[in-house]
Amino acid sequence: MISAVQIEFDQPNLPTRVWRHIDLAQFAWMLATRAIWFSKVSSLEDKFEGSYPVPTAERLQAVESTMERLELPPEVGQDYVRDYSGRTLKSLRERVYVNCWYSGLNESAALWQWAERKGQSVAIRSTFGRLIGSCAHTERIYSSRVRYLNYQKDPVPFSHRLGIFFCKRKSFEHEREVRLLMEGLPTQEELPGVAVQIDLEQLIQRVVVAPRAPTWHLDVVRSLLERYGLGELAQMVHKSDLDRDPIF
Amino acid sequence: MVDPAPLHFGLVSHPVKYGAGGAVEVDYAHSVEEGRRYPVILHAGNLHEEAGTCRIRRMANGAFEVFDFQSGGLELQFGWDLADSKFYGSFVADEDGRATLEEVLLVVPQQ
Repeated sequence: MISAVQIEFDQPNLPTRVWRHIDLAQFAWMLATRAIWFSKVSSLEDKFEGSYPVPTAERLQAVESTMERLELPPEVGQDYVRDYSGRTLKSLRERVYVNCWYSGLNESAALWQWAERKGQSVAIRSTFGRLIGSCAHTERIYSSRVRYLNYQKDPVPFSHRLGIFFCKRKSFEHEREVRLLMEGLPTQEELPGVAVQIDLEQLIQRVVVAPRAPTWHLDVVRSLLERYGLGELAQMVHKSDLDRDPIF
Repeated sequence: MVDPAPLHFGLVSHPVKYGAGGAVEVDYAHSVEEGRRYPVILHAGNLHEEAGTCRIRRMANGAFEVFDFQSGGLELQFGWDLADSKFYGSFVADEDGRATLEEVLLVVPQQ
């Protein structure tokens, strides 16, 4: 059942702590469907997702000039040869799906602020090992830490063709992202994302409600867990550490 | 449904070294991922479009064969010579001497 695959990406250690910040509606959806959501790369907010850093683009231009026709007949025009790399990548952006986690021992104040834009939110705490171990899917799931690059200077550090989807600009370094990735079929119906079934009991170590959330917010989260048959996890619901009182 | 057919070596993109300005000269071995569905790009005259997916297997003699081709609603058009159509692989080579299949071209000559 476990299908996460290691290639030459940057795998965290299995005990690495990971967090996912979602709003209450997404949390309820996750409990109701017992699934996590993989978003299509081309639909992500950062339009640089799945694009080439400058050195890689320059390299690929050079690669195009080093394309070698083997038995390819002349009726297949030079256009195909020239566009091969770019077309493959644009097509991939429409059928590569990702699910993103923050890796860190503690909560991230920055990600709480980001999550709060969408309304009342929670953070699910797990480990990388639990995350990949709880995914039940017949398709191949890739995983890696995201590498943060200077897109003007740094080439894609992975040689695998999907490696570009584990790269972001340095402006996002604070996200310390661990990412799961799935590739859909070219002929598959275009989808905004893919739901992947997951073992929630194995995945969830703790649910943390947003800083400054009122007490009834905790009650809502606990009752959602009970409502969806996960009552044992209700005791794992906590207030944010950011709400602790300072000592003067 | 299309009968299994040979996969011809279509083209390969060689890796380059940064700043070296040229291709890395390696003797590469062609490889495919068995079980994976590869996109099939149709080339027929001026028509170039994704036409479905297929799987690839290595035969006992070392050659590759296209099988389980599933077209995404591909419609045959007048003037296409299917009897002479062939599958070609587009490979990407790396510095380690692997040429990995990226996609498959279905080239349909015009009569």
